[in-house]
Parts: sequence; C-alpha cells; structure tokens
Amino acid sequence: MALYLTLLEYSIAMSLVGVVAFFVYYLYSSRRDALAEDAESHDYIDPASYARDQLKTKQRFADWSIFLYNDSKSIGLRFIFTSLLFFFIAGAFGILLRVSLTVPTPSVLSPDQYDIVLTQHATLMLYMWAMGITVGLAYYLLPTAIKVRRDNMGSYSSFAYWIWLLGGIFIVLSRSSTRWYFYPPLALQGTLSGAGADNWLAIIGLEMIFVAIMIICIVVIRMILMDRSESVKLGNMSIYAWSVLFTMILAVLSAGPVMIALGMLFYDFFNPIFFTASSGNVLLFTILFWFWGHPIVYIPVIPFFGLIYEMMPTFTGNKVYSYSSAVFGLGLLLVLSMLVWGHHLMNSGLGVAWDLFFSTASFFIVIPSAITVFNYIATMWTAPRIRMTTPMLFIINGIIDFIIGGITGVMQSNVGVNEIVHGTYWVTGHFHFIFLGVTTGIAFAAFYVLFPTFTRGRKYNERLAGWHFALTAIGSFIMSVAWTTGGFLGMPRAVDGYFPFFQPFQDTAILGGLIIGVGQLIFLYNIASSWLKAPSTDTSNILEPDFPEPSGSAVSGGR
Amino acid sequence: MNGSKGGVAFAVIVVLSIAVAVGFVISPQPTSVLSQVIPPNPAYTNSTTLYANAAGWDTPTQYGNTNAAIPVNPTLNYTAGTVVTFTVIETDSLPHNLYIAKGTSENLAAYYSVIGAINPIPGSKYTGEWYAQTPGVYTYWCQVHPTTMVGTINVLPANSTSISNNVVKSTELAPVGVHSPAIQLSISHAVNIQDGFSAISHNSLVLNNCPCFADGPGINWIPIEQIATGIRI
Ligand code: HEM
Repeated sequence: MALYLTLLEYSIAMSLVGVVAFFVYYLYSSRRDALAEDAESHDYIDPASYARDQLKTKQRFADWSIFLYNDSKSIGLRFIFTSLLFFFIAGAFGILLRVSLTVPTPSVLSPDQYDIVLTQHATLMLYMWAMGITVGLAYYLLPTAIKVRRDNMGSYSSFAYWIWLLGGIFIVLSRSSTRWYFYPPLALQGTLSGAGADNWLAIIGLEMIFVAIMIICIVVIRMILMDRSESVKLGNMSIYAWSVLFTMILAVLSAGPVMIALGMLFYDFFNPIFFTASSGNVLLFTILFWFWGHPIVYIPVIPFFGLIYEMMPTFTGNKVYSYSSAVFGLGLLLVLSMLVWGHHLMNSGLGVAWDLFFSTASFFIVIPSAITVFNYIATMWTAPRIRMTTPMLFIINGIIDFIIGGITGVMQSNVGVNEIVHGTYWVTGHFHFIFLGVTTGIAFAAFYVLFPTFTRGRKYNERLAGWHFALTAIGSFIMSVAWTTGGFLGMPRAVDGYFPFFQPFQDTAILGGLIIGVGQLIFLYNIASSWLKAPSTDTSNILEPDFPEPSGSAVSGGR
Repeated sequence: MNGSKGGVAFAVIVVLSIAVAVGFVISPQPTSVLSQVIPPNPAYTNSTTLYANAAGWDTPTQYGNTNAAIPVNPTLNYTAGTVVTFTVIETDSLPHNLYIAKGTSENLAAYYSVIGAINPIPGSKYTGEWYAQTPGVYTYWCQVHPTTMVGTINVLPANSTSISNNVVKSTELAPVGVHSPAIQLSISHAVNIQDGFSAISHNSLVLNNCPCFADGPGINWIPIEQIATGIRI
C-alpha cells in the first residue's frame, strides 16, 4: 500500500514538474515564433541577429529576459549579476575563514575544511568575481562606448557564459583543497579525510573557464578593433575601451601555458608521468602557472583603472588630465605584467640571476602605476569642485588603497625583503588592499552608477550606499593593515592556526572582516529594497553617455 | 509590477546559494573508492618493479630467467598504509597497463588505473602510485592481457606481528643484489626494492652490516637517506 502511495506521490510531483516545464517551453517557443515572424518581416533570415540588431541601440534592464537574448548587453548583465552572486558566496567563505581564526589552535574549522574554504574563496573570487565582473562590464559598456556597428557574435558569448558558470560550479563541487595554484604533487594527492579526491573536477572546471575566457577575449577584441563605429577613431577611443583591449590581449597572450599545464596535470591523475614529485618538473608547473598567474592579478585591475578614468570626470567636472599618458600607462602595465611572473617564485631556487631579473622587472611596474595614480591626482587637483557621491568615494578609496597596495608590492619585490615576507600575511594584505580597494571597490562604484539603468529608473538609497562604502573601506583597511603588520612580523598565511604571539593581529583582522561582512549585507539589502520602490529617475547613466546613432548602417550576419 | 521584485529575487538567490555552498563545502566528504587518494605522509612506502611481458608479469629476478621453476606473476605483499610506487618496464613491444582491483579476480567495474597505457618500446619505464589502504586481497592485471598477466596482492593489517613485506613473504621478489637475506629479516618494516637492490630505512645498524656497502657507500646511501626522510624516489 505504502509503495503505491509513494508511487502516486512521485507521479503527481513529476506531472507538476512536467506541467511547469511545458509552460516554460510554451512561453519560450511562442516568443521565438513571434520573433522569427517579426524578423522575417524585416528581411532577416536569422531571428537572433534580428533581435540583437533591435536591442543594440536600446538600453537593457536586468530581468529574466537577459538569459534568452544574446545581445552584448544581455550577456553583460548575465555576467554582472552572476559574478556578483559569486562575490557574495566567495565573500562568505572569506569571512568564514576569518572568523574561524579566533583562537590560535584550529577550532571552528578543521585544517582540512580551512584548506577547502581557502581554495574555494580564492578561486571563486579570482575567476568568478574578478574575471566575471570585468567581462560583464566590458560587454555591457563597450557597445555604447565604441558605438558598435554590429553585434553578431552573441552565440559565442552566450556559450562562453554558460561554460564559465558551469566551470565555477564544478570548482565548488570539487571541494578542492589545493589553494588556487593547483601545485602538483599536492593537487595529485589527497588529504586523509578525503578532501582533494575530486581535484580533477576542479581542473576540468578551470579549463572550461579558460576556454570561456579565450572566447570572450576574441569576441571583445574583435568588437573593439573591427566593429567600432567609423566615428570612433582608435586615437580618441574611450580610455575604458583601451583598458579592456589591453586586458583581453594580456589574457590571450598569457593563458596558453597554464591551459596546457592543467591539461597535463589532468592526465597525471590517471597516469602520473608529467609532474611527478621525483622529477624537477614540479617547479616547471609553477613556472607555467605563474606565467598566467601574474597576469590574472592584473586582468581584474587594468579595466578598473579604465573605469576610474571614465567615471572620475563626471564627479570632478573636468576632463581627464592626460589622455595619452593614461593609455600609455595602461599599455605599459600590459607589457610589464608579462615580465614579472618570476617574482612569485623568488624563493623556489631558480637562482640569484633569475631573482634579480624579476625583482628589477617588478620595480619597473612602478612607472606605469605612478603614471596612472598621478594622472588621477592631477585630474582631481585641477577640478573645480569634487562631488563626493558614493561612486566617487569608492574611487578615492580605491586610489588610496592602490597606493598602499602598490608600495607594499614594491617592497616585497626586493629579493631580500621577499625572503622574509613571502608566505606570510604580508602578501595577503598586499593583494587584498588592491583586490578590495580597486577591483571590488570600483566595481561597486560602477554598479551604483549603473543601478538606475539596471532597474529601469530606480534610485538606490544614498544613505545605505554610504554605509556600504564606509564599512567596506574601513573594514578592508583594518583587515589588510592587520595582515601586513602581522605578516611583517612573520605571521604565516594560509594556515588554520597561528602562534599566540599573533593574537592581536588576527583579532584586528577578524574585526575588519566582520565589518566588511556587515557592509555587504547592507549592500544586498539596498539592492533588494531600492528595487522594490517605484521608478523615480530616468534610466540614463554617465557610463553610457549617448546612445549609438540610429542603426541605419546595421549590417549583421542575418541580413 | 514592472520588474520590481528583481532585487528581492537576487537577494534570495544570493542567500540560498551562500547557504548551499558553505554547507556543501564544509560538510564531511565521502571517500570515494576509486579516486587515488594518496596520503602525503604515508606510514610506509615501497617501490616495486615489474617487467611487462605478455606471458606474465616478471620481477627483476624473473626477468630474463628461463628457469621454469620460478613462477611469473608474483604475489605481492604489503602492510596496510603503504604507498607503493610501481615501476613498470616494457620488455616485449606490446601495449600494457597496470590495473588493481579489490578481490581475487579482475573487476572492470571498480579498479584503480595505476599505470595507463605505456609506450611499447622495450626499456621504457613508467611509474604509478597505489595506496594499499585497506587490508584484503587484491588482483593486479594488465587489461590488454588479462588472462596471462594477472596476479594477487595481499594487503596485511598494519598490526600483524609477522614481518610483512615483500622480501620476506614472497621469495620471488628477493633482490638480485648482494644483500644477505639474514640481514633483511631483521628489518622492522618498509623494505624498499628499487631496480634490483634493496634500500633499507629506519635501521642504520642493519645497513652497516650489509655487504652491499662493499660496492662503495656513496651509491647506496643516497636513496636510503631519501627514503628515511620520507621522500619517495
Ligand atoms: C569580502 C572580503 C574578503 C575577505 C573577508 C577575505 C578574506 C580572506 C582570507 C581570510 C584569506 C585567507 C588568508 C590566509 O589564510 O592566508 C583570503 C585569501 C585570499 N583572498 Fe580574500 N577576502 C576578501 C576578498 C577578496 C577578494 C575581493 C579577492 C579577489 C578578487 C580575494 C582573493 C583572495 C586570494 C587570491 C587569497 C589567497 C588564497 C591563497 O593563499 O591560496 N579576497 N581572503
């Protein structure tokens, strides 16, 4: 009897799911038919490119339809909101890590769990948040910034989006515990509690993300170089478009080695012949990895420099101080960032000559960084009046954080200093200054600027946004300062415990982490509550100043 | 409505995803049978060399030995908790691989691929690691020649009082070198056989007695020291 009841329950549940699925399919297919008819009446043979040409000149708002259309702005919105989702997930992991360090001996998280959460935090933050928001803003803003003539690579971009998302999910599912470097032989071994048994899944996930990144780079580079409107010359293209171009070139140039290395590592799971511990090839993996590993930390920074250049003039009321030096600085960053990967390996025994080369190359990074920072300062210096809106506050905080993060970076590229601070929280502090101040902060600034457009003209709550800014800025400052000072005294990073001597630094960092966490909750609440209000402003924004000329000249794959 | 629930929907998705992701990631992991979870600091390590030959697996002793009294496909014995590094050397220009499954017969549904396909050029050498974790009887075989190249592995409980290592339990694996068996019997655990000579860890007294020292200390000391400090070679 009970069996029949269970069967009955199952069949009812299945039928309900079927009905819902059928309804969704009905909506989808009837709209597709309508679209196809409409396209035909406009002489298009391909409904998708008709849709893209129609949407190209319009603003796009965030709603579920972004998952159905493949125009650049829809793709951009998908990336923006998905990466924001991953920011919250990875941020929760980060705060979990932080609060688990309340006492010197591992208590809240077991060492294994700590390693897993650490790996997840770093991998998701870099590939899903930083890369994702970079790509999302590029897709969303570029069509307007360079007034694209055609937008016909949408299916590729959509494919890239889905495998990027699936790759991120695979990484979480793998519960990998190797930190984001995936160094063999650690990546090939398991821990005794079984973490790391599915590392191969993370490798597949990463490869999928890499394929997605390559597709995106090619689409975006093509968009900038070939699909620009004739009226936008390279010489006066917006600095943001330049920065995205540099970023994408950087990604294409540097991702190859690590894709190959990960492929070989994947093979090693089944037949360990490449990166075996008995050979020196383990060091080879680190070299292949960091050849990409250094550029990946610049990829989420360069476009945000470009965004600062784009947003700052609105709040200062004048032009960017020097256009050409801005572009030159960002371009120089591209070149130099390909030459410094060895500074991640200064203590791995490559030898003094190598260390000195990479140390010197790293010092050179000061030049483009200083060009950029002084350009910002000069722009603000010559401004008639600076409006301290939330985005502008994020920008100023980002510049300050970049200066601190940059100085700590220069210090640690000295071979001698590096020997002391490598593997300590100093390094963690250094890059959290930049990742939280520049990448995350400027992304938030852009999000606030675009919020009225995303939400069809709703204003965000200024007061809550101010709190979000203050808590994020102050919290990350406290956390990173505690880390750098503690690290300089020798507090080792990436361990689920510490010597009691470091208690004050850890406690301060926990305080900072909690403050950041509260700030992000306010941010989330602000998004939800402001979106519920009625539209109260128009949907234009400063990052898409004028919409492209009417698309009489539209040429697309379908026409 | 005008899409005003978008933010709420996003916030709900965020909260749910955080709960699911955090819960999933820190939940205890099921240990999968088939994944090669090699512990970083195994209790014991062992190196075993096998010559791949379509007629049957050979040990260094058997290889090239036409004496029919010496059987092929040696029975291998390991203490539970040993990470075994298998070295397979190609001899007959035919493709081979090395699979291990739990039980007395080959099991294609659940096996470890210790060494995948090897390059069929005589002399080429492949290594693969296998973790002898749970006591029991295992079968090792070559998937290309499953009826001829098949043998048994015994994984013995770690606390068994008998001296449980290859040299003692399976005479077939006695090394070619100059070590006297009497000396090897006195070893407590972890005898490592590598390319025909045995390296002995944890017991330098035994080493001093070993006549292999006559070969010149420099040659034998290096691998022995590495094993003693836990580095696998
Ligand atoms: C929400 C605020 C954040 C918090 C509370 C946070 C917290 C942490 C903590 C506690 C660690 C581990 C430190 C250690 O044990 O060595 C860590 C490492 C790391 N975080 Fe964050 N973080 C935040 C934001 C970010 C962002 C925005 C990024 C990048 C875009 C990022 C990237 C990384 C990386 C790459 C590591 C290094 C992982 C490793 O050493 O393997 N974090 N973070």
